[in-house]
Amino acid sequence: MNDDKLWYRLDNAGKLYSSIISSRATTLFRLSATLTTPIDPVLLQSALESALERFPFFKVQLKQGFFWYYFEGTKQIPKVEEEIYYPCMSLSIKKRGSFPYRVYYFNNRISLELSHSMTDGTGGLKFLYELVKQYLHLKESVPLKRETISNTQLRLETENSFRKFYNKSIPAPRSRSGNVFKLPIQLDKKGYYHIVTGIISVEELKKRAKEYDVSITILLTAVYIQSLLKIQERTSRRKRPIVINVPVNMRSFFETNTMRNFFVSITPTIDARLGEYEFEEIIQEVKIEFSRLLTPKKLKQYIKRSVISEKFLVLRLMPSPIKDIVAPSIYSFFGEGQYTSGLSNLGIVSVPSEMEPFIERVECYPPPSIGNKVKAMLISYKQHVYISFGNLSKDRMLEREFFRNIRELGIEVTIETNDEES
Amino acid sequence: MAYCPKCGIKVEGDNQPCPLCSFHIPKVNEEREAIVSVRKFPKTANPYPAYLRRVLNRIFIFLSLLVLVAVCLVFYIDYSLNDMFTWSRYSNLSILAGWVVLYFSFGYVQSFYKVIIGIGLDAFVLLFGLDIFNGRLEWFFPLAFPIIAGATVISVSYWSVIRALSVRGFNMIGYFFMAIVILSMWINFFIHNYQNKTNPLNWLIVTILQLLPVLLVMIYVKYGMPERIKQKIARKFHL
Repeated sequence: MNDDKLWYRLDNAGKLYSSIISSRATTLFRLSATLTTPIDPVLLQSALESALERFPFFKVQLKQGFFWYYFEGTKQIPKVEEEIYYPCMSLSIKKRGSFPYRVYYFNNRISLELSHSMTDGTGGLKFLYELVKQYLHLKESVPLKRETISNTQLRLETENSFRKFYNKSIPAPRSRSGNVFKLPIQLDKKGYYHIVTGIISVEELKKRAKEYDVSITILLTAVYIQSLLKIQERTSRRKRPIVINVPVNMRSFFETNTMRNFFVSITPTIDARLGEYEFEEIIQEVKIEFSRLLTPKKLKQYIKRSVISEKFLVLRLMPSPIKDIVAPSIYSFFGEGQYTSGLSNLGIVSVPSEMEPFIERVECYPPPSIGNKVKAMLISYKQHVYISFGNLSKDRMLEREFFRNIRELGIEVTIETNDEES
Repeated sequence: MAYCPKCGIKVEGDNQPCPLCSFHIPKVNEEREAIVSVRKFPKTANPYPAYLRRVLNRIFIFLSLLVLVAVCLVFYIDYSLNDMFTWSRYSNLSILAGWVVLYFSFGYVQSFYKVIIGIGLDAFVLLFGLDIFNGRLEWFFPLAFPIIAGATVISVSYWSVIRALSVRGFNMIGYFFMAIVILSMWINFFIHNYQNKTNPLNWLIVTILQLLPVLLVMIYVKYGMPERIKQKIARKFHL
């Protein structure tokens, strides 16, 4: 097989993300694993090469076609680098020879920064898992299970599941529009991205969530909305709805093995114009919204909405340089403009018991976004939930409010940031 | 482990500002139990300022080459038609003066004073050249020189006043209008003088008589107007 001939179409989410890339909105999100010993770059490089053997889908570079971007197979191998930049920053994946992801190491931590045009959090986690597995095999002699990957499986991993579950006759959901609340904060200079990570005990969160009879995601979404309501109360005279963008991993609802983007966004909303909300009321509303939308039938509507946007003929016939010009404004108007902020839960990470002693923690950082200057992403590993806020502004009003509210629920929080020492 | 008294959150190091609210977290760890802290993040580099500079440099060099080609081309055409440099002197001097403005606009000179003075000198050279190419100086000394000198001095003083008084927002526009009025009077004076329509003393008296009522009204509004009338105006005209 000649690798040069190999190419993939982008999925509909990837098509959008590839066109909106800028020096601030890099579309990169970070998944990182902190091990117990300092990282050996040479071993990490060979681990990366083995991981790429397992996932040939990652041996690609982003190329510009006449109408759409696409991924082209390459024989080049990405190099692991020591971390020197702010997280999720300073990688232009469109540059020739650049990969749509990079692997960083710093002290004990391996970080994988992936462009959202390539895959979503779940796909990225699979690759990170493979990378860490290969690394621990080389470094700590953790045994590898021999597994043979058939060509069929490789094909299934690269399939576009949006298209697979797309049904033409299903109507798209009525899209909500309107003037939503935006945080009154200013962008920092280019190249800066401020991370605040809160470390919370899973047990404590579970206990609190159980008291309200909801899941951890719903509890945290409700706290998030409550924090935004309080900020709006303080800073803005006119009340606007709070709309949170919560990505849903569709793999839990539809049978697929894909490594590519397969998520839709649901938008729990609290309309602040209707009056003051108690925390219990917010929780109830979010709970109802989640159970109402998270059914395969309703989600198929959201798939429909994702796919029709890329089937729109005028958009398809537009040359890709022109798409690059119009896409950012379309995205900020119809996409991010419709949300106040985003909260994404990557779920629970579990690794085999022989690997667990070597991995101290797993974290994820959200991609920087100009329309929603602050976004949050959370992941659970062992006894802790790591919830990370990515912020393009220096102002930490949302982080402060959110973690104070968590404390008010009686839950302990440990805070870490990426610019405490600079 | 230390806690922020305001946020209630836990942080690893003590005796530093809270990462969320900047409230100083007091020292709680004993000397002997001080934790050996490992850096979690590198000292970060930011490649964007250097990158932006590189891109700007490339654009500037490209434009400079374009200017060079244009200048040579114009000289060549003029010389081949007339066997000497005639009209090309005017156009080329203008192009070169434009290039100097371009140089300043690309941010190679940081100080705003130097930029204003530089552009002023550029204008001097341009206008002096345009005038002297005719054979003798006609309008440079009576008109161009004082107007440009005035504009430069007024720009420099405007900027100094803005900085010295830390003027912000709408007031900057107010001060800008004041500068424009002074500059207009200055220009008006020299144009009138050039046309020999008036003698300077008369001109001064007429101008002062025009401006005096405006000045008096403004001083009255600012200091003399009763609070009641101010309220009334605010009521009728609030936006």
